[in-house]
Amino acid sequence: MATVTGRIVDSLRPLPVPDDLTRPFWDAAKQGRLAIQRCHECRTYQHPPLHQCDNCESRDLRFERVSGRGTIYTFTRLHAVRMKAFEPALPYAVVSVELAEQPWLLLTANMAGTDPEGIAIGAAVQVTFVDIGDGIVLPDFVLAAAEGR
Amino acid sequence: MAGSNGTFGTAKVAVLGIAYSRITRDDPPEGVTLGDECVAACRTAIADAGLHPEDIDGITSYAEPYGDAADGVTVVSPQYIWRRLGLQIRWGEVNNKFVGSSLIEAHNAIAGGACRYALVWRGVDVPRHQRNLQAETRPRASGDSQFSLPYGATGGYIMHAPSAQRYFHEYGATRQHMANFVVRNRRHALMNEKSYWSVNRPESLSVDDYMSARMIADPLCLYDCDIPVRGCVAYVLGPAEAAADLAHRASYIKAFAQAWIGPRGPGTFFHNGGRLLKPSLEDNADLPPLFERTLWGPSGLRPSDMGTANVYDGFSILSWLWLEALGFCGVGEAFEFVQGDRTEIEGELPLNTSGGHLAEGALAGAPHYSESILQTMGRAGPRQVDDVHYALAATDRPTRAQVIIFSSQPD
Repeated sequence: MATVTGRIVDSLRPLPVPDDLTRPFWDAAKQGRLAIQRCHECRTYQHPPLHQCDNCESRDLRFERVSGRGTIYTFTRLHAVRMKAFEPALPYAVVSVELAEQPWLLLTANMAGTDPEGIAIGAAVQVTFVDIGDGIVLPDFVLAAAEGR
Repeated sequence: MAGSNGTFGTAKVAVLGIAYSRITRDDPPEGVTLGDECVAACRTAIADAGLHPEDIDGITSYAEPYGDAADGVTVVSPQYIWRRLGLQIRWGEVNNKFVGSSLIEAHNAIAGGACRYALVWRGVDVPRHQRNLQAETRPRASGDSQFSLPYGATGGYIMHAPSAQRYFHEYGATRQHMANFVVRNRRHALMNEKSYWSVNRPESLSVDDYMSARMIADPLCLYDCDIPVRGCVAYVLGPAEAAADLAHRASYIKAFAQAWIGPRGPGTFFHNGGRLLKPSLEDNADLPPLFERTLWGPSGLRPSDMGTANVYDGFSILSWLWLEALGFCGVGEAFEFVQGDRTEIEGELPLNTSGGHLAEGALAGAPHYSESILQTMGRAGPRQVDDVHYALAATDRPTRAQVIIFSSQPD
């Protein structure tokens, strides 16, 4: 049986502070696109963004839109975190999504609103976006089946 | 003398003295500070080494810079101990969190002639730090945390619980497998007169207690997480020849290794798992050849030579990763390796006989080093393992690690 819990209070979530390195990620999210930093030389993706390519050390890095598809690499459910935004949602899931584009290209998500029984390693997921206020739109994920894929 | 591959322990430096304060979660007695308790532990360790404060010419420690850390109250810095004990210092160094890094630095300073007798300690007050954490209404998330904190991915367990989940999935381990390790760990702690559980709450833990414990971060429950305590530990190291005058046996540093691999950055599983470098669980599979090259090969020792091992268990899953990283068993095999009697005190590999971080208390790795030291000194009381020649201690996660092999003999 699914455990019914309250919702994460989006307006109280810790607020990302975009910087020169990460602003393109947040700008894209605001437009409903998932964009990941990619090396223009060796074509390796990396996240979070870095000042140089972690593979070939090139400084020629650009953000590219990705499919938004992936699979659940691993996850946990947190039962004891004292943060106001998450207290009503305890226990809430923290999910590590491996994007389809590259092995170990991982993004953190909550899969808020997903039946906890559906959160399992290997499950196919699809990006979605959540407006959390103060100018930030946060990527999250839902089961790919729920998107009709 | 250096080992075949350069820098090595080779038992030229020994731990001569060791002392603990009371380990507790209570506030200190009225008018007593953590600094006072640490000074007392240092004085006792110096006396245990048959020395006086004026003999100490080297110090090394670490005071974790928590948000509101107060020197002498919630942390105890090298400057604090130096001044309180009135030491005449020739050499000093600040290390990282785990006491193993200080023991290795002290070894090197003595072996290199920078000092003769080095004092090492840790004083921690984890409960007070946790109590003082202020939950802001809407915290800001900058740097790498902007990709994790907005999802509530926080706390020490956020790296280890998903890693455990993946481990369970990959290898077929279950909480029942972990129960065996955690329950035995508590049993060991109750045989350790200085452990949190012995001193404060002499309560046994059953498999049923473990299985029905409240969850913290799936699949980790309350008893998979170490117990935050206030306490101090101190050690005195000196040249091996100084051990001749001791009232007890010394513990010689035979070999050591450090590892530093895995994701870049300040580093949790979620912050940087997306780097090209692999997530922590997969990194662990790269470690057996690394420790073969840096620890086993140069020392000429094998895992089977270890009379006992104390491997870090700040979260229970780490003990399995350590057993695999060090080659005590194959990758993905530790959950089966620890079943049965093998890791009992009378077993083939007595494991975490002090109760470790889970049950002696979260003392910056001290429960692991202290126990290996005491076992090689022959001072482990009711949990003494017979005929311990070598005892291994390892702390932090295996990808960012300190490992020391202690010997009961100056060989």
